[in-house]
Amino acid sequence: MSNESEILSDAPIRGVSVSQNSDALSGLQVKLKERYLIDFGEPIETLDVNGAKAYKVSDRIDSDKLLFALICSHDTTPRHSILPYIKSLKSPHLLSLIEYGTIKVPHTSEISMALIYQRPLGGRVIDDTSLPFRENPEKLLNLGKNILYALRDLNAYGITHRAIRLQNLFYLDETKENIVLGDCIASFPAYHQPAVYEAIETLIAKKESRGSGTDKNDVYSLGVVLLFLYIGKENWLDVSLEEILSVKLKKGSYAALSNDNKIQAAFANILRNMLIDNPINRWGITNALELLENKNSKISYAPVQETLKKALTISGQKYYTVRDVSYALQQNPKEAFELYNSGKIAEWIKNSLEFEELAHIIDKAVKSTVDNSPYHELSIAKICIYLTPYFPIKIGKTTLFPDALSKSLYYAYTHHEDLNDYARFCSYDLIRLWYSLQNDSRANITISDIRGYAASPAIGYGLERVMYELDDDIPCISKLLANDYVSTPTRILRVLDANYNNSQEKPYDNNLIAYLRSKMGKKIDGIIIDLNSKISALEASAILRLFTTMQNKFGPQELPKLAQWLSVFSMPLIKSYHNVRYQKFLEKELLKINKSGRLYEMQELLENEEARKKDTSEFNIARKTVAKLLAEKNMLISSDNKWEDAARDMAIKGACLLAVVVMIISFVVNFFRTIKL
Amino acid sequence: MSKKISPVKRNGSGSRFNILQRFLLLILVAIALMTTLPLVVVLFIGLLPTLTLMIIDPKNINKLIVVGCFNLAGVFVYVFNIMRNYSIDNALFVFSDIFNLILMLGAAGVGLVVYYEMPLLFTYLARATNQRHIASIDDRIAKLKEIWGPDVAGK
Repeated sequence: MSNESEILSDAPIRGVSVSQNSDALSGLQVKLKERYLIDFGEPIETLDVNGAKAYKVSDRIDSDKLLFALICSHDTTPRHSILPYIKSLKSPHLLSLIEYGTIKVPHTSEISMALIYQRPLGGRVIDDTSLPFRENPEKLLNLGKNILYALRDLNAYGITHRAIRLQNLFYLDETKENIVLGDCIASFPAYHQPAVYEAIETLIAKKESRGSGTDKNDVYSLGVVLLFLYIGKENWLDVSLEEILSVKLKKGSYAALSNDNKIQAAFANILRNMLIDNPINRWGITNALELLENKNSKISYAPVQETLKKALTISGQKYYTVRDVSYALQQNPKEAFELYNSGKIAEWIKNSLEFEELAHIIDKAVKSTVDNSPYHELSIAKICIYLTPYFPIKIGKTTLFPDALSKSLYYAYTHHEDLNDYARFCSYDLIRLWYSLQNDSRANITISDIRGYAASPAIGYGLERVMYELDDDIPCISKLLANDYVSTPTRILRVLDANYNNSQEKPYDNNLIAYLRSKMGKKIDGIIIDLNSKISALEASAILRLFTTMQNKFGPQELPKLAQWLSVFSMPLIKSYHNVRYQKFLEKELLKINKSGRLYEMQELLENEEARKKDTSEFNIARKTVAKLLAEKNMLISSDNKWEDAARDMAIKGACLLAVVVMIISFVVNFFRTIKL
Repeated sequence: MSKKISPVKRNGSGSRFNILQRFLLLILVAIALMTTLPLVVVLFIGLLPTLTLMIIDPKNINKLIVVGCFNLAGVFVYVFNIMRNYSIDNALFVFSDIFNLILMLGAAGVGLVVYYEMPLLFTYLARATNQRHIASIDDRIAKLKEIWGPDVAGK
């Protein structure tokens, strides 16, 4: 990162930029977008949330504005795709996001996302020792409505908050009149939610695989918040997730959370509706607001009869609800398949659920499945999806919601976890089935392609491609980008330029190409084909074309280190020219271009069509000449004896001729000498 | 034809010539010998190398021609010499000088040397020419390889 001032220059794409203090700032101050000064020397621990650290911020234009910055952790990734919406959203009960951008964290090599928020002056609601909401349903209902308005505003953009908990509720002003909901961007949805705030279905999934969920997940968390405010304390924070899940499964969420506390009947009904364990019956934002706004209406709670008369025994334990059966089947796939084969599951569905059609559907789905999976996990997953479509899918040791697949993969990659479960998950094509049974979620348009992506070992494919295609929040995690946070293709070339250290072989890897393909679309398909050609010259040509296109489109104008990197990598391309003198000429010219750092000049030099044609035609002529010369040489070598024989014959004939001539001369000379005498 | 000259018939009919004819033939041969004796002596002694070659290697005509011609070239000097003073004494006088013998027989030796050395010379020259040609081809290929790389010669 020696050339940071260049690397970190602004790239204003979709409002994201990396900023660096160009003025004389202290080593702990970082400027964001030339306006906001983040002071890493002044942390505000009381505002830390969602794994992000809070720091004091001063606004250089409006110094009276009280702000703070959340510096997102690299443990997960911020919800990048919703940033512009949250920034534009002005909801009175949602903490205002003023600005965002990537910054270099002082004294580290990390580039992180910084979120500039309006600073809440009254502190956290949970820290208010006066307990203003305790046993005060009216005030709580008012608070509930306000938060529901904020959630409705978010929901209008299709965004769920997924970080509703007491720790994330703040008094906006010092008078503690106005309560706002804090950040929901800094981390994965619900990743930092304590188990007590999450519904049963999301507790089954891994933390990073909880997904964005629906508005019903937010309503559930709000219900828990209201309940805790009513009783005046936040319970079960120290209890393990497994224990909380077990109690919620056993007693139901409301009963488990309210415990022995007496709650006013009307308010209790509201909480019950918000905390219904089956999300199909749980209140959504619209239901909740309609009923809470209508003060005259009496809110009732009619519990849905979930407990069945006949139990299904799994692992020696009797289960009386579909939810419990499905969960038990997920946890015991081996026994589950034996139960299915023995017909007990179908029998239980027919007799106990009295839903013969579902039994037929499951039977048909399982029988049509070619299941070679370990413990028949594919068949069990299908059975569970049909039984409880709102549950996450379990494959191997991984339980996840399909909308969290990308984030789960990101987490697995960045935490070096085993990816086998994900590979199998993608190959089973269960996501389509899961979405087909959802009422309030729609599948991503590329969902049908993920099986093919995951199965392909080619560059630009694999699980990396699945990860990037399904979720715009995921930044590029190529190792070539080191610790940088790259959430848009615009910065990739700058970061590559900064990270070149003469030791890397290729200026790309599968991760980078998969990311670029997902962001740049089909127009780079040709390049990906060339990158997979296994012909080094073609690979070099392809990456040069790709990076040149990117530099022309996104800048910057000069990338000297990347140009040097590409020059090294382009050697096979230079060698693809036949003329050695021309190769040397290209090498010399490349050295000059490296200094300028303009990739299009490099491409023009190396991919010159006219020069290529000339080289090829002249090479063909030279090859023909050499072939001819070699044939001639071979002929000379092979007919060496013939030549000698011919020479010998000629010599003998010549000797004969010479002898006859000598004889005639002797005869004539002596004859005339005799006559003369 | 073969029947006419079969040994049976010959044996049956006896010799082709009768005694008189044989006698006359002998006289004629004797006269011829007497009259050409000096020349015959010179030719016989002078052409000894050629006659020897005719006996020991009669099938090698080229060798015979080369050695014979050179031998004759040497002998012609003395054949015309005795023609001026045609006598047996003169013929014998020629052989009394060792240098005359050396010239006549040495001429045959030169012929023999020419016959054996000339093919070697020609072979050597042919080989040298070939090698020069091959070297020139190698040189041209090397120059083309220098410009176009080793691929130009195919892989």
